[in-house]
Amino acid sequence: MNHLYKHALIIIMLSGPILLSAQDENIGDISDGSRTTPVHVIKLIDQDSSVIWLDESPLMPFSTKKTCEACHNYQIISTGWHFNAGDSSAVSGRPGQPWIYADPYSATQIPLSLRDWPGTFKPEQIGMNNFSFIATFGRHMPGGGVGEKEESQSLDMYWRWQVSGEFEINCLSCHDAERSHDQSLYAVQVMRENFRWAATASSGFASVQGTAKDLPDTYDIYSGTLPDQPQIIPPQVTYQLQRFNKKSEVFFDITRKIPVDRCYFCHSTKSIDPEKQERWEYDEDVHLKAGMLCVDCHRHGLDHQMIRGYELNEKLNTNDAVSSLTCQGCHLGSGESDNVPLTGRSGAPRPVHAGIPPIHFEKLTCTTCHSGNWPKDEAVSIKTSMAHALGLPKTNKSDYALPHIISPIFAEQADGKIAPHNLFWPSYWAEMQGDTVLPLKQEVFLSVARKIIGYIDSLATGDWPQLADSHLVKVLDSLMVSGLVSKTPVYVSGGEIFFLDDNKNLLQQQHKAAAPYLWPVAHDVRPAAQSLGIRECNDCHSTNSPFYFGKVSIQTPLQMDRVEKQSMTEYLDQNVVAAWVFSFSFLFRPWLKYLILFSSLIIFAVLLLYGFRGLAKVISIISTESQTQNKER
Amino acid sequence: MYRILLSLVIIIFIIRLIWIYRSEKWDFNRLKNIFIQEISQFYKRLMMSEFKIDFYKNLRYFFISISVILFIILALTGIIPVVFLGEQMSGLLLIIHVTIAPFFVVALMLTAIFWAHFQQFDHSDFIYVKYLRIKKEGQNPDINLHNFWPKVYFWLFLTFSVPAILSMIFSMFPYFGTEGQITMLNIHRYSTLVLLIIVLFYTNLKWQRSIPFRKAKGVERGA
Repeated sequence: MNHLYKHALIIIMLSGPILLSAQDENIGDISDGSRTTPVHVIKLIDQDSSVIWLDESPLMPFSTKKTCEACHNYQIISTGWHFNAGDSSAVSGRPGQPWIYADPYSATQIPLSLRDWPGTFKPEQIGMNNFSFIATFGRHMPGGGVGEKEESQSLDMYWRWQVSGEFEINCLSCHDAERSHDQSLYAVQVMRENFRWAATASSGFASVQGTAKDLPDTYDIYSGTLPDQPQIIPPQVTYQLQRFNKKSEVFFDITRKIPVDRCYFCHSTKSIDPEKQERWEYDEDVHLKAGMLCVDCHRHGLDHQMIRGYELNEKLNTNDAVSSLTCQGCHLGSGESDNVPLTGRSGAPRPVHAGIPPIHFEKLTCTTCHSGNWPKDEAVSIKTSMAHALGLPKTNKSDYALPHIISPIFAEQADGKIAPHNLFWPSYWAEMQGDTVLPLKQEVFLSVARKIIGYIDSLATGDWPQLADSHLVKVLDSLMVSGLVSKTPVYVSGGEIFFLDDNKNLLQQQHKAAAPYLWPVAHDVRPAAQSLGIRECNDCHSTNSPFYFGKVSIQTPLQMDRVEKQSMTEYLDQNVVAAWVFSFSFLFRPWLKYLILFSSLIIFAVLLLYGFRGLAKVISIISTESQTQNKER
Repeated sequence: MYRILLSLVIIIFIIRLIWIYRSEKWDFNRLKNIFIQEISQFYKRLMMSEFKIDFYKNLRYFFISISVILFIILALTGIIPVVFLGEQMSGLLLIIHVTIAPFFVVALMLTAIFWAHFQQFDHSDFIYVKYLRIKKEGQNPDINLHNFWPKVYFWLFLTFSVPAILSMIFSMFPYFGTEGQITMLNIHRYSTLVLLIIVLFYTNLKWQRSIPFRKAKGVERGA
């Protein structure tokens, strides 16, 4: 036993320096104070830590991890917000946009996330392992996380990972300012399961051909082509020779001032507004128009813990600098540390908010009035980069392509404040036991549902099919008899669950598992002149204002006679009658204001009149008293 | 701060209520009778036949009764969220508050017009003030039924109602920014707090005078 302790102690002592060094900053992480961006003319290093020379064969893709790690601490960087979704110790923070597995052929759109966001499912719940999760959604990820951690790679997928390679953090996704950097090529490589080659392909000085997806698990990446299957082209790199100097070094146009286009690749939103169909009719975020960059507010240190900018951010209470980078902190001041003024960073103007009662700032986030689309009678559909794979060569450009997301929805956040949200209605095949509804595995619902509803014509647009009750009955019945489902099969859609009774009659009921998933939106920020309230109270407080009474359509593939539209008040947690009465009062409120002014004037006049009379009386009494006293004397 | 002050006022009022009840052996049946009597009188004044008998007098009482009722509603809707919920007024309470407020202001204006003349200070009030000095010196004039303090409360109420009303009205026009809005809100809050204190003082005075037992005690003391 003593030996055991001794060995353990020796191991800890030996590994101590290693563990400590993992937390150290490397040479490139420590600033000497110069604001100049260092010129990055560096050697390319592959995954085996070998320098890449152009006369080698086969040429290997460079590893961003190995290449950048020479000067930057990759371990610290990998804890950043963009990379730590699969880390159970990472703070999940405010719910954000989930990854949405959408399949029109099975009428499915289901929110997935590696973070603990309520309303989302873990990929493994629908039978998606980390490899297929990366292959499906890695197109709009900057790498890292579960894509490169060995402990998150299942044993049965070991050889597959060996073929595709680690899904390393692609530093170039953000930090490459080179105009020829093409992030869509990165996305294409990821979808081809060429994880190892993805960063190289996007770099602008190399191209990649071939597909790891087609290769067998036994493929050796150093062996070149498959002699027995010459039609399959393994991934191959071709570098632009002129970009290499004699030392085999390459210039990377690396910047800390991340160009907006880099952010836009993953964070674009397209509104499908029937009244505004041309791109020129839309404006960008007002901050960008003022010359700012996304990273001017969304800052971080070496740990890449991006400041998300919302008021509830976990760091807000401990770091005034973080607080000062929220809307309120920057424009109004957080009111915390008064030693050094932190308000007005980057010249942020201080808003006057003339005529807006302070209750609005307690009940609403800044984004309610200033962000997202101007609300209309009915929330419009939107497409986002992450959900709809925007920016890729073969993206489905149809406005009806799944998943169906609508915006803006004014809803209460966890802190009780109202904020604009994006919303989508989950639709998926599940099984129910008691009150618990859990989604079915991919291989189960795809194999059954696709056979029955996957032929319907409307699918050409990427939209889901219009499902009749008979379709539902057929799929649910098939699931039941297939033996693949042990509990009651259900279809979750449009806020309800649908299932069969013993006589195979279709039943439906509302269920929390069918609740819509919402996540707050902060951009694009509109200028003050186009914010809610600019036309005074009526922008929101009128009986037909979209803020209170806008329609929220229930998106579902089920036939339209079943679905209804909701009122925005349901998400505001307000009674629709009370909201209407309050809004109605604003119709005659201007008259009442003048009536009250008039009444106040009269009261004031009465006070003045009798005040003067009282004064006269006091003077009179004093005089009389004085005279009386004089007479008495 | 405002919440603390408002809570203090309410607590002191409740303590006073309990103190009156315990020390004066307040008869709840009598209080109930007074209340019923007041309500029935108010109802009668609403009837036109009663109005015709002494039209202006009844109108005068009608307006002040309306003002009092509306003030109670405004006070309750204003106090509940601040004291008990610790937040600004919103939702249903806000709807009630802002709907009632204009009617209260109009009723108050009419009360001011109809009552101002009767609430003027005159020579007798001057004499009363002099009596107060005498009381301090140990004499015991019968001053309880004098109308001096109700007049004081009346004029104070009218005076503080002006900033209470105007602060809210001005904040509804786009003239004041956030700081101005907060200032206006504070003016409204503290003015209405003073109004509440005045009303509570007046209520206390009314209670003191409506308790027959006290007078009996006074007689005993005098004897």
